[in-house]
Amino acid sequence: MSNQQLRIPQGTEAFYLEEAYAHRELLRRFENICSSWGFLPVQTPVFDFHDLYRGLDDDVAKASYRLVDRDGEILVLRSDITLFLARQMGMIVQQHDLPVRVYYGDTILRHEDPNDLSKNEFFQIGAELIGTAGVEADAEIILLLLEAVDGLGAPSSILHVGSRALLRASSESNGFARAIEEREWDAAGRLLANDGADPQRIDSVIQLYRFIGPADELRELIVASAALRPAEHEALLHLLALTDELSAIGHEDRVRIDLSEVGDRDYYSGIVFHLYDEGTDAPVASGGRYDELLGRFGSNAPSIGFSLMLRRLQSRLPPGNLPQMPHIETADGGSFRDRVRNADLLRTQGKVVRL
Amino acid sequence: MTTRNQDATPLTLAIPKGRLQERTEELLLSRGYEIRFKGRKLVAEDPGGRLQVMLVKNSDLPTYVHHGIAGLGVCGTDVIYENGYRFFRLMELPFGKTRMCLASRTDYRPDGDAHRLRVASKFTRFTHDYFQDRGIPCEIIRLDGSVELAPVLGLTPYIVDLVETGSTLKANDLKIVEELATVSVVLIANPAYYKFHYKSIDALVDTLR
Repeated sequence: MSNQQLRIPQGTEAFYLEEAYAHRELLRRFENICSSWGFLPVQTPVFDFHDLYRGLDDDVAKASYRLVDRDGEILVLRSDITLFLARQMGMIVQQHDLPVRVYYGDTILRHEDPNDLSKNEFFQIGAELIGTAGVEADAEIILLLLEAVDGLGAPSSILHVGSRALLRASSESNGFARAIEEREWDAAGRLLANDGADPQRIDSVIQLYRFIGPADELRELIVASAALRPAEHEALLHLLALTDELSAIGHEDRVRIDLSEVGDRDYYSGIVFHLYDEGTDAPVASGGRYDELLGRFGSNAPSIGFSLMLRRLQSRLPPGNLPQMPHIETADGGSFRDRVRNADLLRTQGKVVRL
Repeated sequence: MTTRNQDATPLTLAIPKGRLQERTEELLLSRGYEIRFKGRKLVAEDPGGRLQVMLVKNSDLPTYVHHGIAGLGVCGTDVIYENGYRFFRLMELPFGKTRMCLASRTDYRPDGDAHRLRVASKFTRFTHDYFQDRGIPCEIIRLDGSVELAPVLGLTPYIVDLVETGSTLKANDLKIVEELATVSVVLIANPAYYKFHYKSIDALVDTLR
């Protein structure tokens, strides 16, 4: 018992005072930005039936805590809000309600490797646009994400956007997505060869997925690429249209096309993206389009969203970018009643006052 | 489109103390990156300010790169495998290639009744995965050094270890039973670091090729 008093279980955390203030303030900023964009809050349950999520995400499943309820049903604790939200939306959203814009911010519970406690995946925030497909919906979510991370104190972050639709058009082989994501070109080439691709196509496809850069350079690469499939062309044109839109709005230096971004979840179906920043050891945020996920839980609707781990972001923000505690004054007065009156007066002037 | 935050600060590279340090410094010098560690300092920067190099223990190197303390690292594929972290492998370096081998005493005759292989190794993850993937029951005893002593002293009949020339095996009256994998030295990158600095890193890789 005494040993337990000195520890907290792996995968949980508590934080206090200045750190908790900064966390709440960052969350408040995020909520204010989402609200100003017409997104509404949504709350997901703490646990749900485990079998509903089977096969959707192996990494999340491995890190999830499970429990058994009194009726013997296996439950899973909330370890990824995106999935829990898709389940809620698939269950309740009616076609006439669409599109729906929602945001969330809540704790998640995941097992953390005791040898690698760096992930800080305790609090997930994000936003989803449900019921709209197309370039404008993709751009809306990306613009909201960029404004959100600016507001959270990471304005130098850069978005790398790719396409899961492109990947699906290139190969359905097991392991192809991971080979591309990890830029293992030899492995990717072998998988394409197993699919029956000839050397010229393998070369074209690998050159394509190596690409990181601006839209103009991608256009040149597409022209030079032999033997691309119609579905690959379509996915690339969608990406170009999206980046053209973002450039026209003034974000040309904030967004890179990166075709090795293929999404680390099988349920992604369109554009996918990660946000990177100087000095961070992992992406700041991630997201993508998932047009088939909600249908698994009921009513389908094309959807796109992003999420980020707020505690991880907070731990990596430069001190100057963290919200600072306001100066707290102490109310004057000989008696308690005087101090209450003086404090009330000072608070009407916007000051923070304790009794 | 302009690129942001590229080239503003030197790239960070971790190199391992020991046998790979000298070869890495030679390679860098031959490509115009002069790295000199002053006294007992473990961090040095090339005079051009393009590369900051930190000297770390071989087995710790993946941890430094995983946490982004160094964005890049020079590391054997054996060490990467044991750590289990995911990195981008940017290029194979032209030195340090070796073999991961199963070895035993030259006079050892396997007992036909033995139900499982008994192996000593410091590469426990690799050994476990290798034999499990092939459905071969295997009992692994972890050792941190002088693994070749295990068969000599009777701890286990087999070892899994790196073999370069084979002279250490020969000196201890051991033989290679099977070559399990080729181990090479690679330049790795923390994926997020690579994505943010890809232009500078690609330029470095082109220079090193």
